[in-house]
Amino acid sequence: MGDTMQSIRSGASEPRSFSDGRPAGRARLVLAAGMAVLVSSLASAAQSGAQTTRMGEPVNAYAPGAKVYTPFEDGDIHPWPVQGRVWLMAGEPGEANVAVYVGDEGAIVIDTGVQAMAPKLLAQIQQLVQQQGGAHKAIRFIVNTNGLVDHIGGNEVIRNAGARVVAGEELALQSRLGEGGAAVWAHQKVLDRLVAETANGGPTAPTESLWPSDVEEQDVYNMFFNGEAVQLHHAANANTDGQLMVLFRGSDVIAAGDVVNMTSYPTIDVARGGTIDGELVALNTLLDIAVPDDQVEGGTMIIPGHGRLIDLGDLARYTVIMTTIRNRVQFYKNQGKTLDQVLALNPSSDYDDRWSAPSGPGSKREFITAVYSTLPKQGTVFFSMESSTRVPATSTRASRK
Amino acid sequence: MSHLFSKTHLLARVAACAALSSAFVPQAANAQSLLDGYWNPLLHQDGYAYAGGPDQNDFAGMPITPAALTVAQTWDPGQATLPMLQCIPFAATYGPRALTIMRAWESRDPYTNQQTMIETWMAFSAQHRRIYMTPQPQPPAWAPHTWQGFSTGKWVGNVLWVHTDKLKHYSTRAGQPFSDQATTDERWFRYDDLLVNVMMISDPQYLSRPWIYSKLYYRVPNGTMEPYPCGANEQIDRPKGQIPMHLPGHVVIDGPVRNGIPLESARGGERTMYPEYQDYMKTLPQNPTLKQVTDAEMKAVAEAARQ
Repeated sequence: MGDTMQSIRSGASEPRSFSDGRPAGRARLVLAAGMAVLVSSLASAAQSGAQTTRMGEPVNAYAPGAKVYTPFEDGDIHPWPVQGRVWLMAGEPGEANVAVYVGDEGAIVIDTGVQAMAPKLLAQIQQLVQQQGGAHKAIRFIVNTNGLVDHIGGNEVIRNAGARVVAGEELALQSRLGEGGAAVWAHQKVLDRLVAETANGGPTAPTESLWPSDVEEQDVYNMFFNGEAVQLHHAANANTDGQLMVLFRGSDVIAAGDVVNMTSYPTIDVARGGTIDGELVALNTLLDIAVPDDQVEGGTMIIPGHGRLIDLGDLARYTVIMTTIRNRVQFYKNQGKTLDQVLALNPSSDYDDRWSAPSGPGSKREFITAVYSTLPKQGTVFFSMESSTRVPATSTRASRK
Repeated sequence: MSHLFSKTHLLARVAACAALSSAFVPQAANAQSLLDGYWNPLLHQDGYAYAGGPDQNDFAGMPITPAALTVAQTWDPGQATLPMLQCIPFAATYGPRALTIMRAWESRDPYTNQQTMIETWMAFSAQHRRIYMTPQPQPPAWAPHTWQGFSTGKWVGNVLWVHTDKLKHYSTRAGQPFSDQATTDERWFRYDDLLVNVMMISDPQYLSRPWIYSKLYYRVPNGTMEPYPCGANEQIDRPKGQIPMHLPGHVVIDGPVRNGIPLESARGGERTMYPEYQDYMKTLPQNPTLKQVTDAEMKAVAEAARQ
């Protein structure tokens, strides 16, 4: 490639002259000899057949059905130390990431996966707390970063296995109602929507047992637990209007919920108040909170709602991608193009191979549809925190399948 | 005399053959430390692309996909001024081509003397790679990716094979993207004071076929290396959250025009890799003049500002 580029460029002063601008003779000879050595050694290795280890072995990423990485979900849950006191219950226990924060005072569980995986998840959490916990080994709190079924499914099972510290009126109330267990926190809007969805019924309506027990409405809710500050940041109108991100300040870990999705485009649940500009505001908030180590690597670690762990370096690129797609859609929408016309223009074509789910939430179609529908008819093409427009949700009925 | 000369000549030929064959026959792996020391890149290969350039939207000779071209056409060099991107180092997909001194060293097990790791450190942007030479647990799918990736290596004769994955999404200074699914396979070998790196990058999303390039380094006996501190700050006053980018329809082409690269060829693609493509290039129409391009660019920038 290099020589081709070099020879092409050498033709600049004399159009379409492809004279060879090769390096000095010795280096060229060395490269040729080196190539011969390479070919020879490759042939020897192939003949010996002795290299069974994968150490240094090439992987053909272009082979039919080739996968560079093993599937994320193997049906098991693998506790993985993220940093400080925070663990990722990896293996996606029911599609969404679950984080556990363990210390002397007990544990906080961030999201609870889907209902079917709850017993398995609980067993792993209890084992982790026994091994890593201090004097108190109870699950004290659960935080739901949103109210979607893959984030609240294990609420009942895990809450019942936990125990919050209560006294006085709260204790009396719990005794009278027969309630107990861990507190389940979420934003007020999560509870509002769950109540409405449960009342409306339907095959996917959550049961009351999955509702949060404690809700807050602040933009930032602070607590001190296990010797460090824990902050719940409300990412208003990001994926949903009740989206939370949880910062463990001492451990330097953020559980970002669905604000970041490393397996597909983020779900912008318009029916639940999600908007693309709210999503970008949340991403920029994360960029403000996260502090990278040298060379923009490590430092604050971020647990996405789905997929692998990331740091600010990944988050920066993710934000660039999402902002780019949003700006293109606003550019087309300003020209009066309909949703179908914008979909036909494929404004995310350069990222779909990596980020589009095959169908449903996270697919390019649903993502672009959500972006289009939550941007104004005429708006500033280039997103900024100052110009962000959040079109309020008009529906309270769940639309997510 | 002639008999003696003949025997001497024969011995010399045998010795030469032995020396030559030793270069081609795999050697015992436990004695390798071929990379240790300081190495300076030789500038004759792609020197322009990595020092003066690369020019935006000049991808002639590169097997990029249409998706990669779209990313690159959208990319604005101003992104490098965003505080969140200022201190990002060159990734392993790009670093070995950088024109910067490299230090390489090995670690050995103190008991077995087995080589356990080879590390490289490039001065510019402090690119630090670790190549594991003994079996390591593969990082799981949920582990974070890094700029330099996860590398394992082995010696095959005098050639070091290295495979790298778990890389972060990276864009070059020309906006050429590599996804976080990219992998690289390398061969490192030394010839006296010359060190050769041949790298093959695979990234089906952004490269329609593996992209192979080579790089030469020359040994520096008394090399030194400066530290590379980097702190991000506001370099350009712009609204918070704004990302510099080019909107659809706006493609910066002054680089290819200045260099006489036909615009069709500058779009790259694997057909542009092959020598016979040069014949086809001669049939392509002339580029617009640089003035025409510059005038159009000024108009596009004004329009973008209006947006």
